[in-house]
Amino acid sequence: MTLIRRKALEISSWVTWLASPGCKDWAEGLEREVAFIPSDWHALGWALGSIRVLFTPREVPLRSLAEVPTVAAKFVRDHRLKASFTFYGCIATGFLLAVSLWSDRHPVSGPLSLSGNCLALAAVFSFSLRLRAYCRSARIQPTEPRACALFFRSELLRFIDLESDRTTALCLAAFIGGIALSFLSLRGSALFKAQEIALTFAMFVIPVIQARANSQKRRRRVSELDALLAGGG
Amino acid sequence: MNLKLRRSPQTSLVLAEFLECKDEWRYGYDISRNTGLKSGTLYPILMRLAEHRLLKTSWETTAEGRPPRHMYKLTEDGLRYARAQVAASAERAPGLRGLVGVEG
Repeated sequence: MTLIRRKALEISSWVTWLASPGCKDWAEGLEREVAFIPSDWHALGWALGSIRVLFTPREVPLRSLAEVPTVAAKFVRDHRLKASFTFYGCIATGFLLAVSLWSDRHPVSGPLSLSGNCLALAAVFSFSLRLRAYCRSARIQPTEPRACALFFRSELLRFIDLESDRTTALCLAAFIGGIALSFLSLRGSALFKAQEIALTFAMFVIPVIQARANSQKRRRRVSELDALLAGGG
Repeated sequence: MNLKLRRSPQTSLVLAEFLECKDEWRYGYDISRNTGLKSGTLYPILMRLAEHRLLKTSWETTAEGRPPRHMYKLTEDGLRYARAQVAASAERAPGLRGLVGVEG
């Protein structure tokens, strides 16, 4: 076996090892193909291309209704915990903004800083209320698989709403706008202010991309559940 | 809730390739070679097709000493979708007509 083919095999097995649970089969399929590619260089190109699988994470698909209760229980537990953490994160951010608002009473701060902090605080407060409502409205998971699948479906939709509906987008936009206004009131050059604002935007780009990917994953789950419910599982 | 399947020219190429031998199981490398798509483009398409239950997968046991291969075949729904999609692609982009093998 040549060095190039050995490298191709190494890359492929590394991809299989790193692939998300729902992609393992596909990554393994890609890895197995390497042995059937006549040219070493083509095999290497194939293996390098397989890295793309790592960027399309998938959860293990639901194959029957019997699997639903376990997956649903894990989802509900994890996501309520996630919402609680985000809620406390919002409280901490709100506290910092309140302190900042307190300091805005000082004559050095301009009206821009005051209105910016007010806007950001209002956004954080509104989103905290939504998170609290989500965490408080916990329901008991049914044990019967079909009822559990319906429960899981509604929980997924509730989380998709919380994460990506218009109110959440408005809260996020208001928060970023508020912070940007506060930065505009800072002393310093226009370039410095632009850098600060760009940094704030950048801080939110990664969570927004992540949220979009997660929302896609959850929509995929809803489709799987729909198919299982329609087919009788 | 229905997830949308991206209707890209690459997807049409893959579907057209499956239509060439619709009753046979196909290997990833063969599809890649025939369509000219790289593995990084082909496999996400195959994954999406499988997610929409348009494609079924299976493992083939090969001769001793060789690893089993992953094989792919369109489902009944997949065949219907492929025919419609390939015809629509050929109408949208006549240049694709030759590539996807649609006559007329």
